[in-house]
Amino acid sequence: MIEVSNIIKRYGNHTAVNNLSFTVKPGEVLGLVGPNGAGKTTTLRCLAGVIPLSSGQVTITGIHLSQDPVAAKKHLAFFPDEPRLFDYLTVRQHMTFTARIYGVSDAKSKIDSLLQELEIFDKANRLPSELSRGMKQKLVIACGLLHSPKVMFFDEPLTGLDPLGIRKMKDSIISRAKAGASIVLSSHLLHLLEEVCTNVLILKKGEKIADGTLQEVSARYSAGEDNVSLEEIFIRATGGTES
Amino acid sequence: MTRAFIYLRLVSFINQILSTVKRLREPKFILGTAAAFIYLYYVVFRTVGGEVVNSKHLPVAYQNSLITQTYTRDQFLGVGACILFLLTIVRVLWLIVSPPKQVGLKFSEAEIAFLFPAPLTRKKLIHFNLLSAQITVLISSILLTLVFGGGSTSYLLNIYRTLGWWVILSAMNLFSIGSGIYVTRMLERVSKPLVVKIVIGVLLFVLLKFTFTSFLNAPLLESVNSGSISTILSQANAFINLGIYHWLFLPFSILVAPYFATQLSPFIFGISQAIVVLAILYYWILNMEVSFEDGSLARAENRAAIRAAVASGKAPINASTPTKVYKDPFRLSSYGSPEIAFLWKNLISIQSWFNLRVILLLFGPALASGFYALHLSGKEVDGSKVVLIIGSAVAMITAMVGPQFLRQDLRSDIIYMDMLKTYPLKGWQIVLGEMITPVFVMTTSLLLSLGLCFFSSTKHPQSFYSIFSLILAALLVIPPICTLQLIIPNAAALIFPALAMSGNNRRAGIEVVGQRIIFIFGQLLAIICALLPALLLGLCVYISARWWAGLLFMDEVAKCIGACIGSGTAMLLMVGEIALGLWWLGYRFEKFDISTDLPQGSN
Repeated sequence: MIEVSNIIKRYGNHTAVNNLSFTVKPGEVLGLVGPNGAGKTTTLRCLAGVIPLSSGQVTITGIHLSQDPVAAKKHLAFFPDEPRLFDYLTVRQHMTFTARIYGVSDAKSKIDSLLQELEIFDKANRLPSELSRGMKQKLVIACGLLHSPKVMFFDEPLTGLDPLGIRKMKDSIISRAKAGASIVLSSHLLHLLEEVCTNVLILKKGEKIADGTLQEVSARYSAGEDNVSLEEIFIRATGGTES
Repeated sequence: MTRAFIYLRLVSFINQILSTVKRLREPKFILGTAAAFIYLYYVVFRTVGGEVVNSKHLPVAYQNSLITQTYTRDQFLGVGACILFLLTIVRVLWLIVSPPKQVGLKFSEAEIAFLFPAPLTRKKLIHFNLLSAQITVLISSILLTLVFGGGSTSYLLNIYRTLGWWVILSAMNLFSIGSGIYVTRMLERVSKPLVVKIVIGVLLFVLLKFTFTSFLNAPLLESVNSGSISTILSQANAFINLGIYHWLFLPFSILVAPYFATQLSPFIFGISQAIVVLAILYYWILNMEVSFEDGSLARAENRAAIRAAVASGKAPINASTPTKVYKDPFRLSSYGSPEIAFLWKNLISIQSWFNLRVILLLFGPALASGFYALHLSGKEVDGSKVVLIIGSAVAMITAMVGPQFLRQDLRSDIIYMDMLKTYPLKGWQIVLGEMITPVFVMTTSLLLSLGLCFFSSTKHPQSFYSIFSLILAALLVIPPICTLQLIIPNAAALIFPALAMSGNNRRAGIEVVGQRIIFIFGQLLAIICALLPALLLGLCVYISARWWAGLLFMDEVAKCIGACIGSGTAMLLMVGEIALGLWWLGYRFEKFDISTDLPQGSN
């Protein structure tokens, strides 16, 4: 469960995220959409505790992120758009390191099982420089799932993946949500929202323009017209401009 | 072509200045710039056109030596040529030890995008590249003249020196490019590169050995006191005109001659000859007809990827992408203190640093000068002296260079900040975890090297109490000293992240120079402030504990008790300081905002 209440993130005089509130229940997938510079990545980084909030409150499975960040972070996983990996650690060494950081019980069997599930078991002794982008992405996901998080944040999860990788990533997100995880993802790809998300939140210049289920948002911007595409709804909602 | 080149460089330079000025809106950059200008004024510009040193402020003995020891510039010609010769040999040796993977001239990504597809010959591209390097060479020449100008009041002499530096640096740059291309191509062509490397290495070593022996035995031109600077200068001047060495050193003498000229006619004659040597080097590179495009492209792509990654506040692809898998230093279980995970991780990455190249670079000069000093003293080389020299060199290098060299801490991981911040750990835990590896390596190195020094220098057998107290004191005091030394660069990484960036990740500019100056002085001051109270307290406790213990035990035991209690007290005080430092760094880590604190950060 993720509860976000009136969060604000400022950089000097510039407000990147303004008074944002929403809730994501277990099993729900919330899609954050918006034009470039809308504040999607900033929002996700704030929710994951990567950058401090200027004000507002975030609770992860009932734990206040700002009051007890260590406890809150034990229940979440953040998947950035670019896979961040240590240059000198192999795939298995990344998993071993992550297991110790999160204090994962029965780590060895979990590591093997995740590597096999994500089809990188045969690359266990390879360095990141020897992996393709898709493989690196898989390793990041394997590290993130190792401690069985209840809350997950994906920043542009399909960036740089091939069609097969995209299919598998979508399936993975849906299956984790079905298993009871609360998920927030940001994306420019509107078809991802249709296939994966249960809810959508449209951001523009750091402010919430609309949120709700896809049907609710569609109904609000279709103006009674039938068969209005999601792309058209997005353009209408954002006014067709970035600024 | 030349006009386009001048336009590109001029416009780029102006825009670079403008962007630097814009950056000065941030207080830390204003502070850095102010520090840089103050430093430059006091160290460099204040000396131009005035006296460098006010001899009244010098000790009397030194004043006397200034009066009796005066040298003309041409006396330094031989030494200059010898230094340039040595640098050339070192460059070739370095190429043999660590040749570039691909032949590639340094072009920016934009230059590749615009110039490579353009209708330009390969020679023109090389010409462009070499001309581009001249701008850096010229700026460096002016700076070197300002720094090493010696406070000359003659502007004509300063011009000679600037042009002299330009000749030397241009020659080094051209030789560096040419030899890099030549050696790489040669090693690609031969079937057994290792054998070729060994043969060239041995030949260079033999050449150095013969040259060095001949230098020491060269006949003196004038009778002077042995060991004085005059002897060395005269010896060098005699040597570079000695038989076959005259021809070996001729290009080097020609290249340094304009720098040491004091009159117009010798300067013009010298620079004319030097330009001929430069032209030969230029012609050599231009006619190599080497395919450098692939290598240049690879280098540029690597730089672009790093820049893009850093600009978005994300981890870059390493400039030297590792391909070797390093073993686990120990078995890491998933239970226990998470800080140990950082030690484990950083011990894996540190293995890549300890190769022959780094060891030669770090300890080679210190060991060579140690053995040379031993050779000059005329004493026989025995095993214990060799161990003492090695121990001293390792201890000295570890203490002085260790904190800067061992960067497997926050300084290397600051680019992974967004990842580190998702870990369910307190800020101080991450800072501590990151610092453990360099502290461990420095402590081990210092303890071992000092141990070697102690046991190799002790002629008489020491009592159990002396050895015990020394070992205990070292074990108590060295780890906190190393930790304190490393806290400061890690603090700098959080406050001035641009300082922590290395290689291609680094931000440049006058304000960063200033930040580095602030940091160097700050580090020195902080180390003194941190160590002085511990030293004084430890000393006081040692004296009083020894006195009290002396009432009950014999002197040797009393000394031992005093040393243990004294060093223990000093250790406790330093641990307190470390705890305070870690608490503050942890707080700073938690407040660190990757969007604004990292260079070129963005959301």
